[in-house]
Parts: sequence; C-alpha cells; structure tokens
Amino acid sequence: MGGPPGLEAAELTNPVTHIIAVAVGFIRDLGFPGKMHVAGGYGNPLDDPLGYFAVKNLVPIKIGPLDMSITMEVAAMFVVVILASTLFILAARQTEGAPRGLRNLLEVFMKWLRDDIVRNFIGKDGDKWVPFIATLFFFILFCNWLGLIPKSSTATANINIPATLAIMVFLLFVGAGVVKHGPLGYIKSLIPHGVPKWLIPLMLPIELVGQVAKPFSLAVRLFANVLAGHIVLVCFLGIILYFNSIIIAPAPLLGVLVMNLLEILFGFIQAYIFTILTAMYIGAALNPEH
Amino acid sequence: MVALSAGLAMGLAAIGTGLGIAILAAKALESMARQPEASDGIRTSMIIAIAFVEAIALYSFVIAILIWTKI
Repeated sequence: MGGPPGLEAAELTNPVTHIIAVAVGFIRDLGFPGKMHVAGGYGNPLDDPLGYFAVKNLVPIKIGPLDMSITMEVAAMFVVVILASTLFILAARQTEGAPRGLRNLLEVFMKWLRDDIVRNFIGKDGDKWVPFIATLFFFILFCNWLGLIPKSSTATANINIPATLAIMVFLLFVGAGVVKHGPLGYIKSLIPHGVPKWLIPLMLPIELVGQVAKPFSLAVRLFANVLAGHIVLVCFLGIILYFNSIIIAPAPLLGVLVMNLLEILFGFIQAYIFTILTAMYIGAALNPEH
Repeated sequence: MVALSAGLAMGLAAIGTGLGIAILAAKALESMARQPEASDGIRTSMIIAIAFVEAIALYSFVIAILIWTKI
C-alpha cells in the first residue's frame, strides 16, 4: 500500500499540498494499489477459500501415536468450558432470597429445558437427564456463539466435535434402552405394534439402519449449518477483495452484518434442535410409544 | 466439470428444500390463523420440522464441498 502514484517526494514541500495530493490520488484511484494483504496468515480468500477453516496448531503435543495438540478449536472449547462453568457457579452461589440477576436468567433457561424439553419427551421421571441435556445445550450454544468473535475459531465448524457429541448421544440412547429393556427387548421395541409376523424380517433392518442414521444426521445437521454460515461470511468478505475498491465495500459489509446476526440466531436454533432431538431419541428408547 | 457437479448438487437439493419449507410454513401459518391460542406449540413444531428439512439440503452441501475440494 504505497502512497498516491505519480507524485515525487520532492514535490511535497507543503503539508497542505501533501494532504490535497493524497486526497486527489485516493479519489482518482478509488482503491488501494495492488492486492490487499490478508492478515492472519490464512491466505487470500480468493485463491484458497477454505484455508480459513484449516486446523491451526497452537501447542503441538504428541503422546506416542496420538496427536493431542492444542489447536484453535481445542482452545475455543477450553474457553467455552471456563465461561459456562464460571457463569453457572456464580449463579449457584446466590442462595438466599428470591433469584435476581444472573441466577434469574439462568433459572429461566433451566426451567425451560426441564419442562419443555426433558419432561415433554422423557416423562416425569426424566429429571435425572436434565443436567446432561443442559450441559449439551449450553456447550453447543456457547461454541456456536464464540465462533463469531473475529479472531476465534468455531469448535462446531469442525466435523470432529459434532461427531463426538453425536456418538455420545447414540451410545446414551442405545444404552438407556438396553439398560431398561434388555438387549433383545430394545430391538423388539423398535418394531411398531400390530405389524404382521412375516413383515418383521423386512422391518428390522430398516429400523436398525434408521437407528444408526440418527447420530449421523445429528452431527451433519449441526456441522453443516454452522460451517455454511461461516463460509457465507468469508465469501462476503471475499467480494471486497475481488472488487479491490472502497466504493463497493459498504454493500458486502452490510451483508456481513446481517449474516452475523443470522448466525447468532442460527447458533441458538441449532443448539435447540440438537438438544430436543437428543431428548426425543432418549424418550423414544425409554418409552417406546406404541 | 467439478464446478458443474458441485453447483448441480447443491442447486437440485435447494429446489426440494425450498418447496418443503414453503409448504410447511404455509400450513403452519394457516393453522396459527385458525387457532391463535395454539400459536406457541405450532411455532415450536414448525421450527423443528424446518431444521429436519434443511438438514437434507445440508447433506448435499457437504457433498458439494467434498466435490469442490476434490476428495
């Protein structure tokens, strides 16, 4: 980003002349000479659009064959854990009197999670599932929201983290069904009532595939929604680089602003959908409603 | 060829998703107008159903990204 082209240093004797010369050169070019250097070391979004989403290693740690490095996603998850635990511990300390302030806000969320999500789908004795559902909800919510801060990384935009959550949910609802009904009873509960006996060998593989498809759809839904939002943001910023002029800049910036607000909404919606589907699957495994 | 297939994958999926969400939202709005006091439950179910339909479009988005990065 040099100065205005076509002006020698010897001509700029007067500061006023210098300012006018810079202004005239700026308006004449209506842009920055040359390509802009993209800070952050990711590479130009025009040439390498997905380079922004590559895994960035902060602290390489190798334990034998396992690669346990601290990457940006791991650091983001640490921040989420610290933030969530601080919020809830601070709210839990307020034990005397009516709830006010932070505790009031978090109690609204906990009541909503307990009544509208857990008790609706798992039934009255589902109270022991509320801590898990609340942890899942707040973890995904804070992971999605913290990714919108400019220099931080979205943990859920990497396929591994939603996949881990989905595998955990799969083991939980299959385990809950097996513990309650026994292994054969769980498979029997998959088959709807009133199905003629000769149809069962056809229904069973379909139902089993359906059960295995549930964690896949959970993981891909969360991952793709968050990743798509961030890709749109990077593409909007790439429009500015493509035109390389400052006159075009306000339109993509408006788009980025609107997409950020939409991402806040979508982060909440995706956390809510993941949580409510988890509660539905656990409820369906515990009380097959036939 | 790569660009054509990636574009077609997402574009064709978007047709079905747009139709699906439109039908869903139309039915939900109609039922909310018929019985305004059930609005909250209908709105919640509509948002859950929209997430299901949108997930199918996003499966093909993931395929388009895989095609584009030539895996």
